[in-house]
Amino acid sequence: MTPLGWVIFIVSNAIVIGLCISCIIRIFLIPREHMQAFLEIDTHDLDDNEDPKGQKRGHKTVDSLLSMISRTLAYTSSNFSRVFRK
Amino acid sequence: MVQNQKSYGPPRESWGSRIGVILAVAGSAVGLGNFLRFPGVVVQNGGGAFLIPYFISFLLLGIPICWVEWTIGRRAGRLGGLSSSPGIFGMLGGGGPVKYVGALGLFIPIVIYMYYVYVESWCLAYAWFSLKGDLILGEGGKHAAFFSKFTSGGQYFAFLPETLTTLLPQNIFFFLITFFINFFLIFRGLSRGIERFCKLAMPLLLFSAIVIVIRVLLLGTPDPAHPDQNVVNGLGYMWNPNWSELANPNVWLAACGQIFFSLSVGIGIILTYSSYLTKKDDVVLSGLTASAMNEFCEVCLSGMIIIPAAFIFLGVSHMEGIAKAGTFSIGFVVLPQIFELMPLGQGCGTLFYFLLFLAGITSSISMLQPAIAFIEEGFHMRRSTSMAILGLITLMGATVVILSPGFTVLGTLDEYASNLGIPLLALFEVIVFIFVIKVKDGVEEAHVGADMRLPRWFPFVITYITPVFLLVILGSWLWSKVHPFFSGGVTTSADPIRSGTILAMMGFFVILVILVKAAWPRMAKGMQQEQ
Repeated sequence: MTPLGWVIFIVSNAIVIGLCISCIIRIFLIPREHMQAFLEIDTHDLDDNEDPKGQKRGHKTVDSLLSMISRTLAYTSSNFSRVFRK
Repeated sequence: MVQNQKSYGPPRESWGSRIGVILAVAGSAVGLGNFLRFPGVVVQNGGGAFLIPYFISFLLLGIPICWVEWTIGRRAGRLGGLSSSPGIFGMLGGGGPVKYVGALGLFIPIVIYMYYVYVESWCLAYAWFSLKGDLILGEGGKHAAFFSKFTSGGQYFAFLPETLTTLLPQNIFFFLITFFINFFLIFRGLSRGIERFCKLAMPLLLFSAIVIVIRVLLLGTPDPAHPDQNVVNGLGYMWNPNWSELANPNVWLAACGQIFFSLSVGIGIILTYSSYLTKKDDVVLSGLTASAMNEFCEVCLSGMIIIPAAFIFLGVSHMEGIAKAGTFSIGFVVLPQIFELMPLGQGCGTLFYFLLFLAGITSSISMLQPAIAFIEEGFHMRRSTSMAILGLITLMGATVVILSPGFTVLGTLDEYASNLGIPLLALFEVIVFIFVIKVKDGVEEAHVGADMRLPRWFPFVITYITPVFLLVILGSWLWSKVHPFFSGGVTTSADPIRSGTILAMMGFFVILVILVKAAWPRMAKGMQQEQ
């Protein structure tokens, strides 16, 4: 490794580690954080049991047909090992 | 939630909850892009030639555009109640043609999902192989042959009947398991459950990665017959700058593509998720923490493990050959060789690949949310219906990826979705931020509910540096592709599978644009009701 390579290696790693540490310190120092990870965010999806408020749902036949397929796939995936053994 | 009582000031949350937040953000951010794609892209682009464009892209594109995307998404979600990228672009553009740009925010995550789940299944398969002891192969290029045989479907389960194993090669078997796990988690809305589980898994992944880094750094010169293949030269391959390559637009495009891919910026996912946030939620510190954690896993862990180890075990030419054949392959050839040299290597390998599989799942289950939101908003279908449609589309795409010879389809999808599509969408986001939202208002919007303020350089960089940087990179790349046509440098020897994949992607994008057109009236109606 060349001297310039060592310099870039040390500086880059120092920047990244420094950035991580500064973020962690900030999170601990603020009085109350309002941060959310992607998958913790509520996506307000339309559930199977509820209709969209005040909106007519289009493609009823397609909707129910595809819904049935997806339920079958979900059932298969949840019981995959059992189905596979059979 | 436990709170520490103070005699003054607002109540402080416990340290446990703060650590939970950090781990949740890290768990969502870290994925296969960090541990498997990054080393492949570094080697494909000449090692030391890549790192300088990579860090410049991180500072001038990755972090600023991450903030832009969080801000645009939350603003659009609050004002119009729309969450899909066509809805967000359409709302901000007053229903004009800008909404068709949003089709990119559907196209990119769906296309990435088609091959991402397949790569994810390799992690599950390798966890299984490691558990069984199949990866103890010794030296002499056997790991590369094993990987090649596995991905081409050449190995079969011994315990299954022969007729079934002929129909179901191992790579397809593990893909189906992975696909159904993803489908089940998204269908049942269990993403928050898996995220909670990953809060436990993430420290374990980081710890095992740090142990592996230490083992790699202690490798020294394992083969006395090849004294040049040692750790220091391996690090030199990655870090020694190669100035001559800086003029190559493909290296810059690959660097910004990798930054965007691993930070999930410019894909459309952040746009959708941030649209569900409220005024109280922070977008500045969240974005910065996720970016910093990503870089730590990518540069300080993955780069320090796979590239020096590949340099030592494979040598430069073999390593570059593997990376050029498949971006994600190198980790599956090199890591088993490291585990062979470690005490309890079999267990470590199983654990590491399984944790990588979990990290992949947390990323892949968020990839379909933009399209789910689009189908719900534009066609008023339920989540289960949306999932069925997307499940069928992605299963068809993934089938083509798996059954095509080599990694041509996977590589082409990755190249055009990640290296071209993502920077293009990122450019449009920046344009919307500058000209539609206006930078001053955008900064104010970002500060609402924020736990830290944007740095003072942000308005200047996002107004002048970031868009020019992206335009120059995309323009240079386009010129490098178009120029040979005019100068007669292109012959008819182009790979038909590659050309077919590009045509199929273009067709899929056109279909999405048509769907955006069809869906817009309903989205506009929903937006008016929300307003």
